[in-house]
Amino acid sequence: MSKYTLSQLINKIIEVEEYTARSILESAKDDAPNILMDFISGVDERVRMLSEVKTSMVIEMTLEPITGIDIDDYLKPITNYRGETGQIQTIEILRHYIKLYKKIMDKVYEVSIDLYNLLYRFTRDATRVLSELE
Amino acid sequence: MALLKEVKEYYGDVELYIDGEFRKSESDNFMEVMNPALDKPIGRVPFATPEEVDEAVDAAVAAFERWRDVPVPNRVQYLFRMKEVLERHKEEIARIIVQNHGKHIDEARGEVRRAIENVEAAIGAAYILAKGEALDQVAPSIDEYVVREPLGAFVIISPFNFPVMVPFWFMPYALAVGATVVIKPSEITPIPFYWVNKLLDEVGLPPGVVNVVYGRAEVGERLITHPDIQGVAFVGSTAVARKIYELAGRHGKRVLLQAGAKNYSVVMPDADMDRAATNLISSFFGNTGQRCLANAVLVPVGDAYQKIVPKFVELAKGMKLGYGLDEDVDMTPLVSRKALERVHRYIEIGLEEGARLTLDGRNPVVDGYPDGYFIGPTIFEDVTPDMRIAQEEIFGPVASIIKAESLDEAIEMANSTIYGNASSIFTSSGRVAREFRRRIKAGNIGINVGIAAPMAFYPFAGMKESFFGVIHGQITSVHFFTDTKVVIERWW
Repeated sequence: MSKYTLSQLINKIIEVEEYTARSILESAKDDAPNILMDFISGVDERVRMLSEVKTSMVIEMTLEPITGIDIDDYLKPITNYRGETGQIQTIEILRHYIKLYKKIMDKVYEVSIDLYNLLYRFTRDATRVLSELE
Repeated sequence: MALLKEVKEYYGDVELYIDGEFRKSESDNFMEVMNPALDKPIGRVPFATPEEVDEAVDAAVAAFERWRDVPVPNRVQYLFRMKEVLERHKEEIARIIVQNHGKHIDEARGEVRRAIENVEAAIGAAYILAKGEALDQVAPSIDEYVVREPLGAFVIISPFNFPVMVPFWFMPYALAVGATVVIKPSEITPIPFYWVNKLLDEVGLPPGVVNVVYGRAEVGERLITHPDIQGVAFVGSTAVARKIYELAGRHGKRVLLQAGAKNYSVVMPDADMDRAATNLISSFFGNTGQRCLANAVLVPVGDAYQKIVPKFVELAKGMKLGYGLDEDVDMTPLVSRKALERVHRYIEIGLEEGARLTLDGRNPVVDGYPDGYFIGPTIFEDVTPDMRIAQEEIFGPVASIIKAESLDEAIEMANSTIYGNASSIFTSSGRVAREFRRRIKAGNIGINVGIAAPMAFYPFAGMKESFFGVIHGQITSVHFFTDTKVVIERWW
């Protein structure tokens, strides 16, 4: 059974962020819309915000293991898209990213409202990019 | 994930803080302070001389006369600055806690957060709780009112397991209401509060309002019995609390003594077992079992046993041990070799008493940390309520499991120890939870919460031999540091 403390989970999410940004960059065409390029270049800021959550509102519940989710499993489909190019792949990666974050949000709602809010913001931004591409 | 960077490898000799000055102790009695993951010294702590202890008290007493006259809104500004300094340095403080105590970085971050929360609560308390009451016209042309006044200089003695948080259970409240303090942090984990104290120098408190000395029992005794000290706030073991209670009583001092624990956690058959299991893991093994709110005895009722125990054991088996500065580990070392030996001794006692060792955490192999004071999660089954491992505080990651047939039996077991610090129940029945809350003899109750840690703006409760005194720590300590005057007033 996969289990994470909050900081372990955030470290995994940081991996997801970096991996997703790299994967989209690889799959995006030269004429990719600005909104997509902004999303990719926003990874550093997203990582910074995630790291901040890790050290800010830490309470007793933070150390309870979070179970019922396996980030590595979720990363696998993204791995399959890597190396290919084209908008379809970008769309699939973003859909996958949003699906993963919604799943994590459901798990962390009772543990860290800060992380929940951050992921809500990230999925909202990703959804905006997705609708532009679609 | 890479190991987080240590703030410093070695912190040198801890200095005393007396009358607004850091100074080297004149003592020739020093003790090495260790990093428990590495079994490596990170500094030395002095045991203050009797003269130094007296000087600290004299400074606190002298400062009181002026500090009490500082208007409340001005006093509170120091606390706002204190919060700002702690916020700015929270991560480095957390890492130093890990280096000295050994706990996981997340636990250390949580500890600093709770310290900050107490500063925030003290600011609120200064304005609200410290206010008196007035009643107009209690008799013809007569009004009556109460004012709260600070009593003077107090002693705060804090334990090794929360070296930063516990001084903040009391100090900000004392300051908020105009009292002054002498703090004696644990000699086992003195570095984190020493560092915090250095940082707080920036706050610019008037000299003598806060003083810090270090040492063992003799330093504590001298502080408590000093004729100019008004009272002592203490957190530690029941054995020491009992001694302080007697000593302070003989010398007419106020006491606020939060003591030991043996916390029971009851799981009913209707509980959400998955959630209960993860919650319990954190409660039993978080901080390596070294907290007075840690659960120590798991009591599944009826067929809850088959539902919860396998999940609990499986999660415990999966815990990864390591240095607390590695965010990817789950459990970290005990604070000292002595603590490790004590926990080992209790495991031997459990075996001798006939309990079944389902999970043996002794002598784990921890990659990269061969000399650390590590022990893994340890679980006993077939425990009976009369066994020492069900009654005595082990202060380590040892869970005893006792099966109960009914809620009544579970409550009876939980109430059978001398302690009354905390107790939890996991159930989906409001009626059962209410019944438990009313009948359990413990101060901090968790309902589907394994670590019933009161927020700063609530008292940190405790009953039976887990608490000595009348007023509890955190926000209610405002009443501990003050006394009331009742004024009956008429003007002709």
